[in-house]
Amino acid sequence: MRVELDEVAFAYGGGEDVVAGVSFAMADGGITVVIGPSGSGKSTLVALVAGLLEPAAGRILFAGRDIARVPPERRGVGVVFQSYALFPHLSVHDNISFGLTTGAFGLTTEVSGLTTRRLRPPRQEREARVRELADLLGLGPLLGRRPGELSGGERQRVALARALAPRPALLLLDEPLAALDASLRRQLRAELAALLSRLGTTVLYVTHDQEEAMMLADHLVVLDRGRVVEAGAPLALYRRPSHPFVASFLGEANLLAVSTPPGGRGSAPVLCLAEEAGAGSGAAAPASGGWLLIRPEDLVVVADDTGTPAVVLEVRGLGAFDRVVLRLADGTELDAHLPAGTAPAPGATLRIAARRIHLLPRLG
Amino acid sequence: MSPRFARRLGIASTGLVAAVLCAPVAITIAGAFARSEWYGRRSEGAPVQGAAALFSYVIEIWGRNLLRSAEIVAVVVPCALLLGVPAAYAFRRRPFPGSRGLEAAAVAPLAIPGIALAVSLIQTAGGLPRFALLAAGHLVYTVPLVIRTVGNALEGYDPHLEAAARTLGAGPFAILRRLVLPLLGPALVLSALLVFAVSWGEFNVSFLLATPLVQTYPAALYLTYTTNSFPVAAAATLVFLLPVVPAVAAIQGLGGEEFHRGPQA
Repeated sequence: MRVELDEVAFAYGGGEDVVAGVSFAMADGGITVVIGPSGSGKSTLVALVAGLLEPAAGRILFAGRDIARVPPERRGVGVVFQSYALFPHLSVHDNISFGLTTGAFGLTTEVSGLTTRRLRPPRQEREARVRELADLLGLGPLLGRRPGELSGGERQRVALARALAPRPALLLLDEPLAALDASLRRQLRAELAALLSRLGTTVLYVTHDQEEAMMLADHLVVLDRGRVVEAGAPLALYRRPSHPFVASFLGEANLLAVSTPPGGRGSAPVLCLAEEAGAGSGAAAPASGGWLLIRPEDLVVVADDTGTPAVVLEVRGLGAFDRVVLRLADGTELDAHLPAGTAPAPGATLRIAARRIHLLPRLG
Repeated sequence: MSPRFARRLGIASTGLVAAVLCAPVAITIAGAFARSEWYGRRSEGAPVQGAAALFSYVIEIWGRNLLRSAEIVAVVVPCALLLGVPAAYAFRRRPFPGSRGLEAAAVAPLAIPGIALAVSLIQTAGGLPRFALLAAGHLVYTVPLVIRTVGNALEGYDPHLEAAARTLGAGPFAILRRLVLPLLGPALVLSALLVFAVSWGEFNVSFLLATPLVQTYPAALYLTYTTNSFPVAAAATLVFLLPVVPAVAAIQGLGGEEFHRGPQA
């Protein structure tokens, strides 16, 4: 189901707008990831699309139909909450089948059509659906347990199964992995990515984690203080952002100010381009100046003396790579990620080049 | 100290405490049913013979007080819930600046001596019917119990549960029936029983606010112990205990269940 947000705004009790005129579209069957720092309005956005909050302004379109005033129980949207919100007094089985007994089954397709007729599948069909989801998510042996007896990862899977049971045409996930510890999060991230792309459901996934976003997104929307800063394909946003905020929020970034004196040629810190960078990467500086983005992993040490000399200030071995702080002749400091164990001791001079650079216009 | 010895010591001390706590009840029961020559010798004038006659005599002289107590309880239990449940919900679910302090203040009356409370009630609202004044006095002691019990139950539940149920298609009635009642039900029953037990047995305020016409059963118990013979007083005490014992047993059962289920996910 194609979902569109059109200038959606919301404020809590007369305060400042938490969501201020947000517009973006989710392709049918696509995974849209909304990423932003805490307080950027991500969870509010989920609540608005789920119908738990009513927007002060704007439209939310399900398959072209405005449902912004339809209450959540008639919207048929699957939601996985950050806390999972599993019903503590019900077994895993009854948690999963909850949405099959209220009439939410197949509701989104109904809502996006013209009727909101409720469907309550017969018992046999319900049992089959619970069994199907239990198999899909490996919950078979846990069906008789209460949520209080499950581990964090198991709860997350129950929450997902419960949300999916009524076959929602739209699935919302609000930081579904944030409550888990790092190693489990990594493992479940991969499982979730595989599962979501297999399901083919339209997904809105909210997170503050850049790796999660890059891994899952077909379409990435960067949110800051209730506004969409930039949206696009994840790799394109990572490599060629238009906003410094996006550049530094999606991974580590060296952002160097580029100034253009009136009528003159632009000047930037002198930095050689690596051979593989190719001719197309050296874009002209915008007329009003801007920022030069160099990702730390795009800085490489070159053996000959074609590279730019740089003094090593600091080295931290992180296992997977060495994090190195370098200083160029003009005093510019750069972060670089060099292959593990290859960084010389502080004080040494290297010759470096950039494999890829990107110019951002200076905004505001 | 070996674990076995420690365990035996624990059992022995628990048994001792239980015995000390149960002894007065046991003595009372024995007193009410023993054939004693005290029957009717102090103030009753006519001797009372046999347990059945003894109990009907108690009902005859204190029946009106029993009725008063029943009336008070019938008013106080629903009122305490009506006042306490929304307050608990507000304190825990919709906290506002200073709500923690207000909650503490709402629980503080538990520590006020009954005489102080009774005097202040008469001074501030002495014009009210005595029955209303009495009920108000009981509410001051029972609403805090509701706020505490229901508040703790609310604290254990994720505020997103209702939202989750709504997104799964549950309307307000389904949420009340399938979510709120099962989750808060035990706490509501528990607090109702606590309010009942406290209100039924409340003596201080009841005694000080009592008039000859509006006098609760515990106040009557005091009179019976000071004026009647021991078997009459013991029988009256048994009548008092009759509804309390099942209530206390139910409180114990519910409290135990809550305890065993532990903190919820």
